[in-house]
Amino acid sequence: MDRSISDKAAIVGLGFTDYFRRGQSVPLTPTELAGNAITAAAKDAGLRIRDLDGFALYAGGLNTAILAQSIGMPEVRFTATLPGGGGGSAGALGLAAAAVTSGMAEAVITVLVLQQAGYRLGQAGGTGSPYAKDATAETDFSIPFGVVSPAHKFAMAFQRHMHLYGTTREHCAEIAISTRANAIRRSTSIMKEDLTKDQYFASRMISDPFCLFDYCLESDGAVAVITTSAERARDLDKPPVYIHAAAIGGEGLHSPPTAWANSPDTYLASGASRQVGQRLFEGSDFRPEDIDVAQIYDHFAPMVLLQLEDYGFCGRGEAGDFVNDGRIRWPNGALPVNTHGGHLSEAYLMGMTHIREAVEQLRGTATNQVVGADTVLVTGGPASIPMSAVILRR
Amino acid sequence: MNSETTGSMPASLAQLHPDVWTEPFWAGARDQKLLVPCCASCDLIRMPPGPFCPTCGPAPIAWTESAGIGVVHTFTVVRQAFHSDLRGAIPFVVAVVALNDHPAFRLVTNVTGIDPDRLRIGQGVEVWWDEIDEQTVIPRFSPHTEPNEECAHEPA
Repeated sequence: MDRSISDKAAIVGLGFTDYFRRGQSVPLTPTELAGNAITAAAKDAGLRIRDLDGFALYAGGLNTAILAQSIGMPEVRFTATLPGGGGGSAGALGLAAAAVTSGMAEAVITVLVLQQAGYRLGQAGGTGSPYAKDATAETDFSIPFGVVSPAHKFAMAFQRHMHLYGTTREHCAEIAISTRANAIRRSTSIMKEDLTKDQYFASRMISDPFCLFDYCLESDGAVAVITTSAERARDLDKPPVYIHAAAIGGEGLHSPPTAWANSPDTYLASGASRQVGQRLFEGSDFRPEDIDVAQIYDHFAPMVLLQLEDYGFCGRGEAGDFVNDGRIRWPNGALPVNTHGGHLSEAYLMGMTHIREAVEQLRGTATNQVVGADTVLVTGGPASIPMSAVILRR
Repeated sequence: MNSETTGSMPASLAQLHPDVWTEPFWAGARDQKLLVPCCASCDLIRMPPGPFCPTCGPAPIAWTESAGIGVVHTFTVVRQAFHSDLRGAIPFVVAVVALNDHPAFRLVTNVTGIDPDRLRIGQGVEVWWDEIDEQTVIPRFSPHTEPNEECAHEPA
């Protein structure tokens, strides 16, 4: 694989707003939230707004004309957005690295702002929701059957995994409970109380086998990071967090929702991220066992299990056993996962909180610091194309 | 029609938007025929039906009729309405059904007329036709008692 971006760009600035429950960030506007996060990221890096010249976004992006004008960027030299939703989160860092490494831009902003006041992401039909897209000839094969929420497809994928491999809801509970344990130590977290196994199993089923605590939160807020060249990064205020490897994409033949149902079990009963994972590690100096901390996209707790398999931390069908015995727990597990509390318990900002945590881990400033963390995996997805992932290093 | 324990699905969600490539499927449904889209050149199942075969490139579709009997490949029981029109329908079952006579073809559909808590992967099902209006007929499935291979190794 082409190694041209490897370690040639680095994250140098990190900024964020408070995290809010859904709709609670009003009356702040989305532009205000995004601008506040970008301004904070520039300050963190020791850069001025006029030093910034690019955007590498995802999930449909933002109006970068309004944003550039609002915060006062004299010239935008690069602006690009990955399609899809949170599946592109980690990949936006790869896009930023590509822009910087190619010389198209010098200091690239990746920002995500979410304000679910007028709509809810998980709810079909809400005005402004990315899932409220117009019905098409293709969606005629899903919407008439009530398939209107992302969870429905993932619940069916995971149900198949349970059938094939004996994975259980106990394993999902371990994801939800370990993630909550990480969240309650952080002031930023929306969920502040312990989650017990009894509470997990007493919660209502929403889309079997997914129960309430398998679902992520609904949140508002913004997080921004700034990526520049490794050379320039070494002269800035904060220790560089190098973008070591990135992969964006997914299985071509089975990614659309209606094609997915006709895919083999190797894809259907998976986290859809195996190809991205293989390409990521092939383009890196590391193997899965070299990763110190994993920030794994957790829109749904069971999909963390499937990604552990896809990214090669264990074999196909072995994720249940993998998470037993505290292996993903902070601080003593061999692979602490979602040390910030994830989308499940800290806040849901479509992958940006995972990126923030990866940066803090590699700077050594995380609340739930993994001692000596040198390499962090961040993933985006499962979703339809694109999924994405990056390996960050210090 | 067949809905012992699950409510009927709302007509509002069944509004169709066929194009020239998907219309034959829905025309078949109006005649209560379940048609399977295969590549006319290489037989590969093509879902969603469209102008290109991933193997052959541009190629027409050959529509083959299925007897409409199959097995539940996977499913979810939807217990919370994520769309206001679904409030009267919950709980309902969304399933991927594999057809016995076209095992490579699977359809996202509903399974009705069964206690959702008793549904298992491998359940035999057969198609029934939900006549929304003259132009709109939707294939849904209900339990079918004929044993099948996948049921045989599936614990109850």
